[in-house]
Amino acid sequence: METKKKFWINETLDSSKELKSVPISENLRKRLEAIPKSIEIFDRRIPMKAVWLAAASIALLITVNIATFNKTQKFESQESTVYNDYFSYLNQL
Amino acid sequence: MSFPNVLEFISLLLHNKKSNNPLDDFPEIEALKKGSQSAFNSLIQLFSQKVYNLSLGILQNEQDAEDVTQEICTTVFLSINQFKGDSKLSTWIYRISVNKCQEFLRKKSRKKRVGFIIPLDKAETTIQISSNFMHPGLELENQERGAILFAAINALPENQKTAFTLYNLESIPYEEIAQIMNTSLSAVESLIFRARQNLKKSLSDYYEENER
Repeated sequence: METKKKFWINETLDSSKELKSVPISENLRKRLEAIPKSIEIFDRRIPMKAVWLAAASIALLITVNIATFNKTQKFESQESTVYNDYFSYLNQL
Repeated sequence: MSFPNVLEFISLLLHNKKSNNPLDDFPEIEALKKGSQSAFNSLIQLFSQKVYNLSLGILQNEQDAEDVTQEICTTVFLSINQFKGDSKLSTWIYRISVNKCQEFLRKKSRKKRVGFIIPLDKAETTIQISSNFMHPGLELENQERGAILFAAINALPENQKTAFTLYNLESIPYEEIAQIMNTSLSAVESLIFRARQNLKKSLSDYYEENER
């Protein structure tokens, strides 16, 4: 039993020696050979200038939004102070 | 370490194979760095099959191996200028391949992670054999045995699995495996030795459960 088991284990381990190299499929070869072209197309389609321009536009948009928000907040707080003063004046009458 | 184990360890050292890699003298490396399509095609012809077979051995899935091979080749093309020639080109490519395969497996296991309960008494000692990967490089009569072996390899810890696959399936010598895995020669020897011991143990458990 032990010998049979040992034999089976060794045979199973040695089955990796029977392994043959698998050739790549024609489809994969075409995909691999197309890599330089696909990278070139990507580079051509999106020039770096356009990428920087888009990034700058986004940054500008965010800055304008923050500035507007801050201005609105300040205006609202000023407005509420004016209202409070007016109502307190009315209450005193 | 018992006497048969010592003998096995010595035989592993003696049978350490020598490299015979055509990439050692890849003449078009400068053209490749300039982005030449023909140099890239030559490189594909030389190493794509090796990269694919290594990926297939580690990932044990043909579709995944094809996708990862494409990813590896893209990385090689994009970062060839970072290759300084400190190691062989094949070593550099194998290092990228191993990293990409391990990265892919980690991503996959993160997605697939589900409750997996192993009894406490078996958690340390047994390795679950549960896979039905039929390697296309095996003859039909060896397919079943190969599936059992691949399932056992799949259950090995990540580094043991990588070292064993590089040595036993890809016939890469110890020195090169050490460079690929960024480790020492003795660490590689130990990893492969422990991998074989673990495989023997899990195959023995499998035999007792199924062949009785």
